[in-house]
Amino acid sequence: MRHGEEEITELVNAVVDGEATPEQQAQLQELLRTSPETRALYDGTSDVARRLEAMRVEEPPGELKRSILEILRTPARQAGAPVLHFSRRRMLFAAGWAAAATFVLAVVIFERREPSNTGATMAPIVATYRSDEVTLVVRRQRDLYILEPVTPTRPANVTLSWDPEKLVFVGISGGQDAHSGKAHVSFTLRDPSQRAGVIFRPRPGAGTADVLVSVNEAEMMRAVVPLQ
Amino acid sequence: MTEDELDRMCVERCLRGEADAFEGILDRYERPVYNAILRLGADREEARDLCQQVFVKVFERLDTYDRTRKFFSWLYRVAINETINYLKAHRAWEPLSPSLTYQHANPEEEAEAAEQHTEIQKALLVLEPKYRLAIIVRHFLHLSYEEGAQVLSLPVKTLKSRLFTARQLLREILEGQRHAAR
Repeated sequence: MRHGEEEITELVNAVVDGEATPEQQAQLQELLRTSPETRALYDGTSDVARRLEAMRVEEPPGELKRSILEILRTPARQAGAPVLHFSRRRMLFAAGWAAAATFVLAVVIFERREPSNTGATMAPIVATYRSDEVTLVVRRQRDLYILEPVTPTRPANVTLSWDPEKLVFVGISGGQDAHSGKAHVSFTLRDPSQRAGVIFRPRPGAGTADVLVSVNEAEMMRAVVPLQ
Repeated sequence: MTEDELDRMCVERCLRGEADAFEGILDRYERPVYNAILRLGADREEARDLCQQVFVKVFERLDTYDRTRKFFSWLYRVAINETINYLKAHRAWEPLSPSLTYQHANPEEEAEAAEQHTEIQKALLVLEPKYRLAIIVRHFLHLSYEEGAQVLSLPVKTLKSRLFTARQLLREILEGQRHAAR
């Protein structure tokens, strides 16, 4: 860079970004009158900046704010106290997680799930849990909890385990995306203490239900699903 | 009352157990966070999930927020880190969603604006992550140099330099697109 170029770029940046002092503005004005190179640099930079500023702002989905607030209002959650736990410890499953009282379901996910438009996946998300190996999206629709494990783009054997007293197995749905041909799957569980048809009826001591997720019988994540 | 003071008040109320006070934070920052996540490379479904994850995480960790700093600076930093970590784990960093175009009530009237938007979006796809981040903090989060540098943990001078290079690269890419279209 020749002497002075750094100063010129600094001036152009500052003026384009509205952070220039009056002295810097005057300096650049003088340069713009006398230097075609500086003029070209300034015009190009301000054109790009203008086009970036003109990009439309996308509105977040309407239900997003509501679903976040619903999560924050769950009894198990409070500001300054994380309740989501992520673990890669292989021993977690074996070490005292009431193995006798778990319901275990395994399914092979062939590829990363593509967005689908089924009614179930339109239910609001109540929690999302992520580890390096798997993401578990939990949606709630009345007394139903829809669990959607998502793995990176490689074949994976995903196992979900949970306490059947807290959540009752209802079914698995899945299919193939018509466009991409990729497979997706979701587990539907029901909160047995909720009466079907009653939406978000608060009940004392609802607490949480642990769901353990393992991938290829190894990596594991513990999702603490807030029940409501 | 400044936005920063409003943020601090919301934080204090949340920490006292008033979860509903977080609505003020969501009102101010849901949109910029969602858009920053989109521009970083997530598709809409991922952006929705990541946005939710970011705000829940921030809420749960409000006690670790350093009150000597601006709240939004911390929030944006969490959002950027969460998104980058997710994208690194789930795909190559570079490919953004080139289909992030907009549906308009009147497509004819909006056609030109939509085309411009798509051009820029495609050009952003090509930028290296460090340059894309410089563009995002400045043009989509509308942060000052100081604030942007704080969010990205960079010296101000480095951010300015990356911003300048990013815009020059974008200009070249856009010109290349125009030539290719002829």
